[in-house]
Amino acid sequence: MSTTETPTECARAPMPRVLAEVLGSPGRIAGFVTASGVVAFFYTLLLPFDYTQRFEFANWNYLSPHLLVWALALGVAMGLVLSIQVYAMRQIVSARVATGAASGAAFIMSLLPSFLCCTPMVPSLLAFVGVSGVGLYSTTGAVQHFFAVHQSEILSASLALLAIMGWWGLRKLTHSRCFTGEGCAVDTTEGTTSASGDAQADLQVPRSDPPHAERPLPKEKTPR
Amino acid sequence: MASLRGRPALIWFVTTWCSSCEAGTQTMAQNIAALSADGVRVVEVENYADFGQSGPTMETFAKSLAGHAFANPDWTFGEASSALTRTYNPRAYLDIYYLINAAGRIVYVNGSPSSTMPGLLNAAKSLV
Repeated sequence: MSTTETPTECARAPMPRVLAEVLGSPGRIAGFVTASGVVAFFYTLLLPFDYTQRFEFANWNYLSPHLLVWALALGVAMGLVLSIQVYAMRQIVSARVATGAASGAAFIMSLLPSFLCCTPMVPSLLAFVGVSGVGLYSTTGAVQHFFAVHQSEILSASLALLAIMGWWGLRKLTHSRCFTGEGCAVDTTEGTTSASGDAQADLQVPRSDPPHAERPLPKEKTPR
Repeated sequence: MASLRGRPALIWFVTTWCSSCEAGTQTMAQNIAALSADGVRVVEVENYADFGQSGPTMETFAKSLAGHAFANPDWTFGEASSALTRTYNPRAYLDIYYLINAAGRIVYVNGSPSSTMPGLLNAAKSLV
């Protein structure tokens, strides 16, 4: 038996477990609460913008319970997405330090697409445009009317985007998590950024790891 | 408009489906007495046909938001013609007002009285 083996499959961590780890320490929870609070605070000023056409504390005079719920929901969702992204970036840095350039690159490539292409700025901008659209003086009455009467739908779309991004980020983490937590390869079935064959060859299970040593050998995948 | 000559007036263009116009009308109801004391007559008019979008009628809008102040003789509600809207509001602001002195000169321009009322009251005081 060789001292190393090349695994191609491993058990993925369930999403709730990854989420628990994302918020798994007092520091991470504090970060999540802080981010959510800051974003929710921002939205409490932004959402009543229609009533004053100003971005000022007086907007709180028009902060209805309905708008407050939206501000809190968007704040919590944004805080969660930011926490997931920070966690993922830390994992990338850790992987680089722990495993060297080749395997680190594979890990990074498995995570980057979901964290670089769609940052939380997208739904944030969407929400901002939605609530401030009536203030775009040069637009036509139809456009202003659209934003004025469809604010709830636009905010819903923004929240849905955040939820999708959070889910997608967690999904990517579950797919890559077996690599960092249990010493097996990055999942190569995801998207176009899968690890190359060379990189896979570098990702090896350490024989000294008792849980893996007792597992049956995984089936080999057909090379692509 | 001709009947306003010789006396300070606030010409305020609103759109009945706009939130700042609703909030501004409520704020105006709380401050109409102060403006009246400074000799200012307020004329709140709907932008022509609400810029082609559906909204409540000006009367419904005014009665529901101005409350008791709806009957104040120094506060008039109406609907602007296309020409008046184009002349005073060529950029189609949802909510814009002009404070005009007794000589017929525009002395103060702003929008959203819900957040600009202090400035408007100061400008009105300066007319006296």
